[in-house]
Amino acid sequence: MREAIEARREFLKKLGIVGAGVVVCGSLGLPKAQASSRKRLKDKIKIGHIAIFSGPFGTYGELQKRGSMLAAEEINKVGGIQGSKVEIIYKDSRAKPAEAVKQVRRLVESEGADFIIGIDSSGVVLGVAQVMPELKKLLIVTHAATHKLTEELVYKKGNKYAFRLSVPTYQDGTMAAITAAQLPAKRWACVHPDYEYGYASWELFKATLKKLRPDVQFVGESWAKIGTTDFKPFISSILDKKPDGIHTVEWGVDLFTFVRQAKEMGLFDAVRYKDGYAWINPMGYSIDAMEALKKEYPEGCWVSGRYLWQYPPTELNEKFVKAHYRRWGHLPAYSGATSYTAVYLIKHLIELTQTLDVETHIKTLENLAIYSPIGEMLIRKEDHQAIYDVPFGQIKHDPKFPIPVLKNFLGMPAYMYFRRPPFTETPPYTGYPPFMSL
Amino acid sequence: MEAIFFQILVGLSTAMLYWVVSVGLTFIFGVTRVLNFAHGSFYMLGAFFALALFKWTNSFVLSIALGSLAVGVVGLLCERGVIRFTYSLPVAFQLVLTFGLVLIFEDLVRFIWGSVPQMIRPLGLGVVTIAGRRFPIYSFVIMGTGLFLWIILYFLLLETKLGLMIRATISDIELAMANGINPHLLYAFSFFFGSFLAGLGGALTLPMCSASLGMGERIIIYSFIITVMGGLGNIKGAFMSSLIIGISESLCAFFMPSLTIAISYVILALVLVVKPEGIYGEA
Amino acid sequence: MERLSNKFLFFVLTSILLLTFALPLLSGAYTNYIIIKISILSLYAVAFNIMFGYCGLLSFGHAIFFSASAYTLGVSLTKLNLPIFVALLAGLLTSVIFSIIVGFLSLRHKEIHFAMITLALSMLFWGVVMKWRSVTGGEDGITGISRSISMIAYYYICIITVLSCLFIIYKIIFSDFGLLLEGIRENEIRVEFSAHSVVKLRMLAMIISGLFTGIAGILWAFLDGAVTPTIAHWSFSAVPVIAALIGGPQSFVGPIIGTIVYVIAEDFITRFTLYWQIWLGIVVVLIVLFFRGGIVGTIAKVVSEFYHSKLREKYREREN
Repeated sequence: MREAIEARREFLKKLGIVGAGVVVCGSLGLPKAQASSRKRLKDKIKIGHIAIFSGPFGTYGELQKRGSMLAAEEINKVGGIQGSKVEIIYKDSRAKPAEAVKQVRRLVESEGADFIIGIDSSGVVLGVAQVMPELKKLLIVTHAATHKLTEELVYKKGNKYAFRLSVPTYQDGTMAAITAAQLPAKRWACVHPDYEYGYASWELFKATLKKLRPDVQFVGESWAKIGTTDFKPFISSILDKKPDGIHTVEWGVDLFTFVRQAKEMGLFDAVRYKDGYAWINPMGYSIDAMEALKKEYPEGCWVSGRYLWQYPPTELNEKFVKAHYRRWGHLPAYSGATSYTAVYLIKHLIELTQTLDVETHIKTLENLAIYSPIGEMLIRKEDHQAIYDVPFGQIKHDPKFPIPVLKNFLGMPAYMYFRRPPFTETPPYTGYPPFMSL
Repeated sequence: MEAIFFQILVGLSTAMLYWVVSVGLTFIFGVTRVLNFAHGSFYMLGAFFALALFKWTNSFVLSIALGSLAVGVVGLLCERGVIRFTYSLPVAFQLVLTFGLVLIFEDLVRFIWGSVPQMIRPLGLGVVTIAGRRFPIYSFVIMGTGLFLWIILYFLLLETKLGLMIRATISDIELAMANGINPHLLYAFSFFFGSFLAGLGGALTLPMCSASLGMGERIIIYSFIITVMGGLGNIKGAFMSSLIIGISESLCAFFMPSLTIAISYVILALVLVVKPEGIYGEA
Repeated sequence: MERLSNKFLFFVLTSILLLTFALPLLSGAYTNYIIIKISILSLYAVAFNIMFGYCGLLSFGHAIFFSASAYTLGVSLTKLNLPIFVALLAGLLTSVIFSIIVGFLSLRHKEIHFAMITLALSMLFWGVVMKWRSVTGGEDGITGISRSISMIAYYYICIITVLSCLFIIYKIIFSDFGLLLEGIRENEIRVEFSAHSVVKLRMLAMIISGLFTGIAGILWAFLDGAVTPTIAHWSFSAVPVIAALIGGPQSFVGPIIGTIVYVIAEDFITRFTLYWQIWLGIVVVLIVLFFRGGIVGTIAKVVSEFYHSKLREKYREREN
């Protein structure tokens, strides 16, 4: 194990990034004897987990809960964090910023939470991150994707208390465009949810694709409000523009509806090419969508997530996926994996620093390399974003698995497609590198 | 031109779904003068009941019929159990009471079915080609149901004794009571029938999308808009305003895709400023 | 009798609020935060109740005035970098302007039509907030509204502002103007005969109501330092409606009691369970069923019945 960590450190150094430390997040953690010899810091380490538990997107809280609860159970089974038990308190954000801020305040000021993790939507995360300096606690975001959090709040305004373990909209816009550039399609159109996430993804997508493929056109846009039950008007107006590629960041319950109706109305057939569909759906490989749609999602569509259970093919990830499946009977969702990692990160952070002091934690986290089920991550100092890559893949129906799997992975090292400070240049950076062989 | 025609056709199927749900609300308001905020919850219940029945019976027609009838019974129980005690209070109290019911139903559904949205397998009715586009046959089923409902209501209200009683109650309750109509029976029936329609609407959406939490909150606003726009309690008005909202939304998705989110409110505000009692006036 | 119980309750409430002045010294930060929230929402509910309880007009659009001032403040502070007093004035002015616009379009209508037209206008406003992204920030809203003072200082500012606003509203309601409003609610034609313009009086009430709602909006914007479209949504217009109906719209303190009960019930429930909706729903249903006409009205009735029975007893004793 030690060698593995050393190898990772070497690997990261080769990338030109000097990490302050390396921690392993997952059930391969530090040896137990070493951990228990240290002094107990607190009776109970309390982690507040805020997510959406009610309403149409209530699934997303449930998916995150599976990850963080599993991690807490594993940690408590081997004696907790230096002898103190981990307790996770779940709170419903209702996707409302003011409600989430209230819950965060209560967690910290009344229920004694030491860390805050979770948080689903961009409006909520911006609101919560803003009060963290006042509360002086760490916020580890495991789902919300808005790049405003890291680029504006952390980098430009210097809010040091927010960190993010999930991939931001770079995956939904930039990486989607890099994948799109490999496809023959030239007339791209979008069907997006009508809110900030949709706009941000589409803007990033257009910028990157234009840079890589000056020959493409953007022929149509469709903005469907959240909770649309009938996508037919949007699909038919997009069909009218005769696109041969579709970019969509629909997610959750809207995605189910959209895929089913798009299939009926022939939107998939319109974007067919010889090896599949020019259909880019960055959040398509979300476990809830795959479990609901199963074989209905056509083979050959390009989808991704903020973590894929098949990737990376490491021992750590395999163990996590198996443990998750054993505990819950489901494969892990991306937000579950990031929540799992967040809890382990907190454990190692405390063990590494031997303190609950937030300032020390922030200093340690900056430039920290993490080896987790999600892959090697580096928390960038400037914007507190964990840098790791998630590839796109094509859907394949495989009878051996309960849900469709992905094949033909297309990926790129994260540092090439994550926007870099000062966030003015459009990725991908330094030429156009060959794809990683996965 | 063909595209616009297709867009209108698509809007028509949306409109018919809105009509099925909102006529239930209109009917309840017309008879009992209660603005039932829990109508959206009944819509959601319809979807979930049909989902459960479909898994059990594997027959879509049966699950729609039984599912929406079951929702009708739930509506009846709500009326007899809770709502009837508030008839003497101002309309706002019933709004708050039914808002409480919405909260209760949301969590009951979450408790029973979990928070993961669920789908049934596609019915596989296929598509027809109209104006060079594929149009799902299932949308014709929805349109057919809507039109059938229109005819049934017309018949029910104009040709039957029950319809006479309902119309009498809608126009003047005191006079109706003086003529020996038992309003409580009628109130109970209207809640049964109105909730049945909400459940029918919910069950009908099932092959198109999923049964999910919070789906009631989205439809209730449309139902309110349609009910108010057509004239409170006016069934003909509800039909017309369903068409207006459905088709204008569909056209808006074609011409100004980013404004679809607000178009129905624009129309409602315009109609109300010009004609506060709605298109056809209050029943 | 109603007047008496109103006054009695008002004094009780004032003394409770005076106690809250000492609270930051005794209790935790979160309690302070919740009390700030309650005080802001109380002001919102009382301002709303000027229209509902005293004019008999159920507005489903008060979120417009609340969010208009909050957004104007947010934009002036974060985007235009105006001085704070200008931003405050601009915020209040926008609320007043919007209440004139909404009043102009809606005040000819009554009852459910008034409710629906205000609902439509408020959702239109919400649409503008969502879509005018360059100014309002769309769904993300405006963040970074700095209040640059500590929470405890802000606590006192909020309590003092809200108390003085409540006092002013109280004075207005129990002036001749307030009586005229109640007169309109009961019998419009009679007031018209006594040479008062009903529409003008209502418009004035609307402006006052909008102005105080705007003050609540400003306090809210500073509290979390953020404004998001959720405060322009119709569900936020429903907040004072629920508060007023739970507490009792016919009395001055009703909406305040309603707010306190609702916020505390919600807070208490979400402390223990993620299934908060069902419990909150049960609480709401029970209150509507068993406190018919609101908590304050019911309690006042019970108190007065008790008082009367005591009188009767005394009377009987004397007769014997």
